[in-house]
Amino acid sequence: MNGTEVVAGALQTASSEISIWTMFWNAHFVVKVVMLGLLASSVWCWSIIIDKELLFRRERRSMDRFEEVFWSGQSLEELYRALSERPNNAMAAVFVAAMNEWKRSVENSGRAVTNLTQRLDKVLDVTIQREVERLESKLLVLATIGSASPFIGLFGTVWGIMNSFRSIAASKNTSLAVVAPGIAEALFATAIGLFAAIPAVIAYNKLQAEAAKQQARVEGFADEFSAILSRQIDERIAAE
Amino acid sequence: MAINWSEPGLPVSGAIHVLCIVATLVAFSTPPKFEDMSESVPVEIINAEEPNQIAKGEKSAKEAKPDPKPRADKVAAVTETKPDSAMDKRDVVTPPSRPPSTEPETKPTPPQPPKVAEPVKPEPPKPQPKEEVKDEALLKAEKKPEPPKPEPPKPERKPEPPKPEQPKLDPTQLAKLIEQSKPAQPKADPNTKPFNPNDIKKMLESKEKPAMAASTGAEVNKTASLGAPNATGPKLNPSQKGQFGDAIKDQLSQCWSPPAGVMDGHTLKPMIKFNLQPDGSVIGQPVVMNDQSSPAFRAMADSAMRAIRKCSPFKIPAQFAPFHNDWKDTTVIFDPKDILG
Repeated sequence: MNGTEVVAGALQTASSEISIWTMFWNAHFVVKVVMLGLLASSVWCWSIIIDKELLFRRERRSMDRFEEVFWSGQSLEELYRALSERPNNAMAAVFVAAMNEWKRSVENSGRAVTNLTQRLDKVLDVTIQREVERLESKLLVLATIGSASPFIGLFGTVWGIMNSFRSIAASKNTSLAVVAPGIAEALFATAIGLFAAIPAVIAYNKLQAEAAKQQARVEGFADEFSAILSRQIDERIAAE
Repeated sequence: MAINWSEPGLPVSGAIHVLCIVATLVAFSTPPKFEDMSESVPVEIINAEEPNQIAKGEKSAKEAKPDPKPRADKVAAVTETKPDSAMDKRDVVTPPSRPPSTEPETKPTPPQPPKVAEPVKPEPPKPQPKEEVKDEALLKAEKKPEPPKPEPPKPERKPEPPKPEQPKLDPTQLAKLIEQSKPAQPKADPNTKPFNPNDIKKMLESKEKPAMAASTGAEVNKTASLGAPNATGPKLNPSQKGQFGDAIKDQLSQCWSPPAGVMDGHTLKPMIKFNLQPDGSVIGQPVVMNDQSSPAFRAMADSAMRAIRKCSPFKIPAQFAPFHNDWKDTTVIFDPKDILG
């Protein structure tokens, strides 16, 4: 009688519903925390991906427009006036910063021209650095999620399996039907970890490459603009 | 909370995740189940005649001797119990060591005394001719020492008859009587030759094995075996067979404790064959018929074997006793549901 009851009981528990929800709900507290943390990190990671993707697209478009305007032969004064209020991309920010310095040095009496080139270079460098930082901000979060969440998921799995083995030892019952729910719950943690990590890694690589491309573009523009300005400075010095 | 449209990441990603979770909850609400393995049901096809035969019985069948006994010339010093196979059937009688308590009605035992008596019958005639001869040759016999006879009763009888006839002793007839008695003696006891000192050497020299070795048994039985009613003996009909199986399973249910934790009991059903003696005791080693290598099955089979050994001897209901041939090889399927539940 005993044996058959045990058999029947185990079969019943095995055949009872194992939906995703019950799997989560029956999991150990630590595993639950791990799962929720991984889910939150996945939400965060996707929000960063979406934001960055939109930002880069905007930047690229406005940089294209700015370059078009800049090389169209339009007066730099006009361009400066149009953009000085609110520079809408990295290139414009670099341009505005350099023009600010130029104007302050040249138009306020025209005395401080000697070291203007060095000062302009400094300003350009600082602005580029700030803009690149803005572009690359939060990408480190993606890298962290991408590399850490599989381990976090694995931790949840190991913890869950450890627990289910402990309950095997307690119930002295080695049937697969008894072990299976615990292991399924535990593996669910790894699944969520991978679910968060895979997009994070892919997006990190893509966005990092995009940021590097835009940085190179801004640096190229800064070099060209600094060359234009230094030519102007030299012409002024020669004229005086 | 106002959504910042330049950075809509968080709400969008949150919405996507909620959608994903809902989709997984719906899609994986019930796990796909493995198909249950369907077990094949063995079907036996029976002719229309067979049930009739089972119901009527076989009229031409030989009458089964309740307890066939093989011939035994000597009482065996050692009796061994072996499962009776075709080979052992001839020589060895396994003494039915029935515990009196296990079986109240024992049919096979009553016929035993007459059987034992039978072998004694042929012996009395042997001494008789000898006595007649001795009556004629009594005078001579008195003087001549009789060759030593192996059988103990003879020496007792011989001295008796001569006594009343001693006064008749006629010396003149002696020679005649001697001649008569001499040929008579070998005739009387052809097995025991008169002692001849010349034969000693011959006897010592002959290394040939005797043509027939004395067969041994638990009891001396001089009649040749009349044949065991093996093949054509009475058979249990199907319902009796079921009753017998139930009786065996009933007893096994009290001896069997299947290993705890063997979960898939519905697939692990060791089928075990064992040999039963007429008194219900198990002889030989039970054999697992459907052996599997899985440890769970081994544990199950071992527990079943233990149960059989523990239950031995089985109590055989009296109505099955005459059908020993039909149930001496018994196969039991150890299905927990069947036996325990």
